[in-house]
Amino acid sequence: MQAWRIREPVMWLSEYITGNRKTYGMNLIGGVSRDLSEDAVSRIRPVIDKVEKETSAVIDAILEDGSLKARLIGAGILTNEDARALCAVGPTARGSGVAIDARIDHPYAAYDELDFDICVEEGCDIWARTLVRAREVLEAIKITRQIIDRLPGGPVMAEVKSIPVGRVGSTSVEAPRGEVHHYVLTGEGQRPFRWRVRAPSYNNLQTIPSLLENMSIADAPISVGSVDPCFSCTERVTVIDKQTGKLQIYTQDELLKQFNQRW
Amino acid sequence: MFKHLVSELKETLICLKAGQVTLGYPFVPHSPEGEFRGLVRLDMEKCIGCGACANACPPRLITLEDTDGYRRLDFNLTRCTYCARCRDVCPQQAITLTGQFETATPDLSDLHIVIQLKLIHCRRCGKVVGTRRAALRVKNELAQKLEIDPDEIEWLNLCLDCKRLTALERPGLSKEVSV
Repeated sequence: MQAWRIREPVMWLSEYITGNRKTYGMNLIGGVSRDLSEDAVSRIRPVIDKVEKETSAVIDAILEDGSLKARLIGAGILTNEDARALCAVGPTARGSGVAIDARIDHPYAAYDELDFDICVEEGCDIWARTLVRAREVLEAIKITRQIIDRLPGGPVMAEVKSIPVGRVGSTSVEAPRGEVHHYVLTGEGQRPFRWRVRAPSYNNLQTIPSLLENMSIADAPISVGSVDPCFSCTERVTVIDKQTGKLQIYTQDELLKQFNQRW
Repeated sequence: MFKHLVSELKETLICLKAGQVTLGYPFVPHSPEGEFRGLVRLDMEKCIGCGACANACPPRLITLEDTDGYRRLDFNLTRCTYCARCRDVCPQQAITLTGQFETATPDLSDLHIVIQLKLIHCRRCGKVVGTRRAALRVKNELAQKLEIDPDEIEWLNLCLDCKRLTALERPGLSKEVSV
């Protein structure tokens, strides 16, 4: 609960800078929709200083907490081999000793100019994943500090005249839950023809069977929680005929006709 | 055992230091920070029905329909993502995103904005040229730029094709304007 409390000033700051707590609506083709004002930059510093202080205090307090360790160490085991085999990403992989991070493995934006570390734990259990996530808060603060110290200024939008039809765009960035992949195929009228998102939860949810293997039922909720799955990011549908077991494949027209609801 | 006790004490201190942090909301009204993007509001007086918002809207919830001499602009805000693109592209600054975030409602019409604007038709071929308000705006701006009497601008109620034809037939009408 204290972690939620510590986070709240960051949400208020997001609301102030972007206009919303979570759906920032900042990214546009060609740049971002609004610039950081002087006032915004001066408001970031005290917030991250406070979050850093409080997060460090929480990490320091929980490190020797016997009851927490008794509950989390040895529960929800994801071995290093399983993490690799199931293509786990983000803190789920890093808690099992797999040092992957899109920001370091294939840097985008300004990440190659910034100095930060990948948080890796070898414990392979829920405790390890908890520590990874907690320490990543401090790394994020380190990154934010470097960014606001070295803001280059200049325009935030490039002039985009028109987007050609039928071009493919594809990119991977590191989200809090791990590497997220976006694919876009441009279409008529300056709109996308196809958009596919492979959110990190898609990979990480595949690890759930291994996490639950040989565990008690009481460990199930915290094991699933430790992966922090986002189900809305991961929803996929396979339509199978119950009698014949045959897979149904829809064309775009059929799909829209059957499932596109307008209300 | 000793370490565990110290750890528990530290945790207790963190909780005690925090005290009560819960806000009074919903009993005390909460106003969001900065340029919060809440429920869309349309200024009916300012809108000229150009349709720039309908073109920019990513979830395509703004629809344009020309029937019976009127243009109907329909905002179905149940699908709004609050991206504010409509506000950013509006040439009339008619759209604002308010601080209103409590949008749950039993009445769907609360999330519906409809505006009907009178259309003008091409006096040569009868095709829709645009709304009367849009024509009026162009008329006033051009009159200022050209420094002429607005009533002299007679090609505003011509569609694009007919404008070209008229200009060919009466070349004296064309005059270079730098906008």
